[in-house]
Amino acid sequence: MNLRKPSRLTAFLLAGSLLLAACAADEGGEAEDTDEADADSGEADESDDAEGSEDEAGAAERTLVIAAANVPGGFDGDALQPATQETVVQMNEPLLGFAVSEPQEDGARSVISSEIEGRLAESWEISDDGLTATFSLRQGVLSPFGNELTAEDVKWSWDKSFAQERTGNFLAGVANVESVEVVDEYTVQFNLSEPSALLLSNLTVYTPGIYDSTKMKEHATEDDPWALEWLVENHAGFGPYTVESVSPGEQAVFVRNENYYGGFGEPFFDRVIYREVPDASTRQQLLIAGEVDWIEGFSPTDVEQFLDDERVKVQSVTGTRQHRVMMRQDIAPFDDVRVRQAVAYATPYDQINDIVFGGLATVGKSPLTPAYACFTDEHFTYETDLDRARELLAEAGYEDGLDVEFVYSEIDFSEEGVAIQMADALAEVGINVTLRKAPEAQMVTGIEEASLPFFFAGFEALVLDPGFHLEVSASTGGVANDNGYSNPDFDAAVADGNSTFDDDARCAAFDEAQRIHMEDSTWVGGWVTTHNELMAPDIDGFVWNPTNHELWVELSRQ
Amino acid sequence: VAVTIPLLFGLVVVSFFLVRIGDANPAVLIAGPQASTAEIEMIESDLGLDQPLSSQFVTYLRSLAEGDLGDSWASGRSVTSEIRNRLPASLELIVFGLLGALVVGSLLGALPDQLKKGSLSHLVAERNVDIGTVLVMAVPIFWAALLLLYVFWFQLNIFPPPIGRLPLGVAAPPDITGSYVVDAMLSRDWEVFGAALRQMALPIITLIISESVVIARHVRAVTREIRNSPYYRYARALGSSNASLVALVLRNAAPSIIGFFGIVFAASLGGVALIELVFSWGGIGDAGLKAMQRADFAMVQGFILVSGVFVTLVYLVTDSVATLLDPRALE
Repeated sequence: MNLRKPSRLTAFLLAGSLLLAACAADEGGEAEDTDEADADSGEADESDDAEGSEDEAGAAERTLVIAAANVPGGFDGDALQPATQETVVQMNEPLLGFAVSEPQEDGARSVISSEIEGRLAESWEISDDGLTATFSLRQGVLSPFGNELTAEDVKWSWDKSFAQERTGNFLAGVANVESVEVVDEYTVQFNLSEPSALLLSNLTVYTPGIYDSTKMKEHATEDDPWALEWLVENHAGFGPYTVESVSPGEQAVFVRNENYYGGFGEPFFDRVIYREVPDASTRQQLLIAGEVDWIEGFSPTDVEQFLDDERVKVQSVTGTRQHRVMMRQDIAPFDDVRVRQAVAYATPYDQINDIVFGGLATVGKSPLTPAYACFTDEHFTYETDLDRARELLAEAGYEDGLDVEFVYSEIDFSEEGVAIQMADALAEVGINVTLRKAPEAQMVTGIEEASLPFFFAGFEALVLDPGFHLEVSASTGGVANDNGYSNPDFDAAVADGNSTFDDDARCAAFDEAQRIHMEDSTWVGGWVTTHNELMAPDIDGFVWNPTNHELWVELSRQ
Repeated sequence: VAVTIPLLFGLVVVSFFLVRIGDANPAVLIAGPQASTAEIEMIESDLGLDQPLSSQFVTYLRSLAEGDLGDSWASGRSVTSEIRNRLPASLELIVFGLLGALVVGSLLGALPDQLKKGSLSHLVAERNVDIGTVLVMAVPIFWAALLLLYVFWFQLNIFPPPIGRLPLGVAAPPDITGSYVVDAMLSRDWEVFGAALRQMALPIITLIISESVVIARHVRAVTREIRNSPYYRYARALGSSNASLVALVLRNAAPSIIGFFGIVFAASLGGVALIELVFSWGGIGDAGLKAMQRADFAMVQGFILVSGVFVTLVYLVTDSVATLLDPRALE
């Protein structure tokens, strides 16, 4: 009896839902027919509209469907809004680009940071004093609106970034660019305050994006001279794709720029549907079910379950994201280099890699990551050695041990794991670690106010250049120098490398910088995780680039 | 009205200060991880966050009086247009789902008493409803939605995938009310109508299942009370027909059921957020949740204000209906 009761309710509910489903299917009969025609074209309609459904099938084949957490909040590369970066890179064609490597075993390719090629710029010349860089633009490059690229477009676009004082302006500042001027219709000159070897790699980034200034000016007003309001739902660049429509909360549709000059190759996909699916597990289900071709926004820990799943293709490349244990040299006890070195000797690098990163990370043995030119791990001397750690602590006057607090949050998936492992390992040598988990906003504020002596921070640079990475994340006053590391010798070595255009001299300078940084032991770990992408099995052509966003123009369907 | 305006004003005050109590700073989020302090300060001044709270509040009230709810930094759009875009999506779910839940809930609640008392079927029905409703109420709506999706979409493929209000490749109907089902019907686009209805089926079933049990329990309690009342027994003793007895129960239970339905309805805007999340519905509830995570102050305030107006309107309507049915409710 008892068993029957719930089952009757279940039966009732089931019957109810089936009934509703039947109604819905009934009323949606026409729509369903269309769906089926989509799925098995030709077969169903051998008669009149066989041609029509072949077209439809062709259209489906040439449509890339992406499930993402958000519809883009706008298409201004200088503003950081949800899904803006992911889509602006598809529409902004840079002046320069990187060469692409041969496919690795799983088919994925990566950009080669040491080989820069022309995109909108065909050739370039840097003056002997390093203070001006002149670019000859490719002729006949058209925007989707049919306007030809000229030097005026480049100047207008950089002026936009200067005026907004956001991401583009920051990148301009790092490369010492003071102004951009028009030399003639197809020649543009960049004026630098000091020579900068970072300029060329900075020009591969999507911002300052080069806009079709003729179109943009049509939508500029006195209050909005850079047409930022128009950019919320529109875009005018020279890249392979352009926006067709945006429905907030639903989707954005992109179509190929029919006038694209082909710098990154010919796009295979005519249309890209960027669908908002806010729930991460739903996005994964949609990919497994074959409803979408690509998903955005998943945790590295989700990847493992798909490694042996034929319904999903996983591609992983080296990547540049570092996961670091940071120490502030201006707060005791970390003001003593011996304490910092002791932490480095006590760290179980491989064990943390296995337990926290599933063995998929590379142990950081340099302030740089292996993806950078000039990377070297030969200055790493901190193979785990607990006795050496104890010795150093004793020398620093902490033979009876010491107490410290380690702060972490949930910004990165690995933080808690790293925190727990570090606390265990350091206890072995007498460093008693109290763990404190801070809310994300508190963590950001703590780093901003320089009040945390010992904490977790992740980092990856926007520009794939060793000089940029070292300058921004470790030079005195660098905007992403989260632990306030400061050593004049290190700064000088980085500055040397960033002001010379000679590759060997650059690497020699960065070798010295890496040596000093390792000796100072300002952060440990720097485990570098792979960058992963999940896609439908028939999608090919993924190329990793430093923004960590795939370029649709490089993708195709088998 | 006398109560409504102070109520909404109170809501405006509370929502304004509540979102600012936490230490989340939208300027830090907008500026991104590689921003300098100067950049963050510049954004703070753009957003007016460098001003004292009191003057921020005055500025907010002043724009509010002009009908300007501010801009959402995450979407780059005005909060008004965000609400205009997303509210209809939520309303279509709520209206269809809760009316369905009212019908199913009333049937479930009233069913056992229609069977002959003391009979086996009465006992079975009564126990089923009592145990079943408690069981269903214990299941979180989010989980129920995922479970239904897994079974009816992923395994059985009876329903379409949870990718929002329309399948891929189907264009939205002309914008009249903002509800795709209604707009497609009004413009006689039956293909889109069917497609929209199919997309809507599973989220609505989820809502019906989760909300009908709440209503069923209330209906059971009310009708039981009526059946035990002297006037009902008197009517029965007089030999009234079964139909007129049912009518008697209905007439007397209706005001209470409608009042209760109002409460469920009013509370639904927040509750439906999770269903919107799972089914990628693009509604206002999901947008409100996201805005809170992103410290998108203007959007959160807008969402709370809309919820306040919605609740007030729902109570106004259900109270009026209840008064029409039973004038004593006025007293």
